[in-house]
Amino acid sequence: MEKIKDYKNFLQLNTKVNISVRSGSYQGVYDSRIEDLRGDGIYISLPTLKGVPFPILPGTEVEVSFIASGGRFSFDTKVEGRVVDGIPMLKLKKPEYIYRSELRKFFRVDCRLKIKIHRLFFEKLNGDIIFKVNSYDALVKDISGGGVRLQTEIELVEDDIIQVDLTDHFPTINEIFGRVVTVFPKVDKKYEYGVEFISIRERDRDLIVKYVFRRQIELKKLT
Amino acid sequence: MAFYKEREGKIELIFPVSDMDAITGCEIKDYINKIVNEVDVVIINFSRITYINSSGLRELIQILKLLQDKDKKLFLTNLSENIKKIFVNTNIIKIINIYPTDEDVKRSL
Repeated sequence: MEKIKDYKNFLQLNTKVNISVRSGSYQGVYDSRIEDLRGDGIYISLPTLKGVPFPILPGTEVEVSFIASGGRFSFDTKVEGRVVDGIPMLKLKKPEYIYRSELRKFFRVDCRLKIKIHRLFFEKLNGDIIFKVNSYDALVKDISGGGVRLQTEIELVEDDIIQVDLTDHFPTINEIFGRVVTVFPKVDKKYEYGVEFISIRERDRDLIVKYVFRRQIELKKLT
Repeated sequence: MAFYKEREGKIELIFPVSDMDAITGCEIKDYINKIVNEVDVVIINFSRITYINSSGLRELIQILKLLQDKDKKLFLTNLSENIKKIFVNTNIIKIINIYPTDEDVKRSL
């Protein structure tokens, strides 16, 4: 993680942020946006969860994370107060530093998600073009905004492209193209692969990143 | 608008500006259907496309069929490395003509 002191080029107005509350009555991961940056404060819109606003209490410690050009950034801070200036906002204390991790190195969490993967082919047959889909069961063993490690019965090689269908866990995410970047040794007669997402909508990536944050909190509670 | 367009003689240049999915693909197909008798060649420039899904791929095949039925040609240009990998792996690259740039297509005609 890279420590950045001069972060004004990364943290800007209208940046979408995730607010993670790890303890207290508002525990969870919320959506918000940078509304203003002035003095020693960062002013964000009221954090929401599924569209419902949560006016997190002053004094609550939060982790703010966001994706901007150049990577994924995060910092710890505290809610200093609630402010109404045209719209209701929370004032956060400006941090001394923020931290950057490369987008490619999204934080991964362990999980066990049963999903489907598909292989797509187009073929010319008797002058017509046929579209074929072969579908297989797979088990996601870890996930990040950048890809998955999964176990399946089909043999793939490096650079193969698969479609990752996460609809059973993320109802809107059924169409991510991924590239096999790592082939791991077989485990329990099953093949295991590292798959990098190469065609994913940013809003779908945001949903996965939020899941990763939530899962991190769940796993911390278990330890 | 999911795409911009330009006409150069009998060549129609199409620049999709959003995801290449069913919606964008369908809009482009409907537009080409209207102008198919006015042009000989359609170039779809992918320079602004970072996301494609299977519906987008199928729409491209529909566009190809639409043009081939009228003896017209389809070319794709300026594909990102990742989208090119998808096209190679799904065999699209064997079905649709893909060139690095619009100029390369024009030189080949």
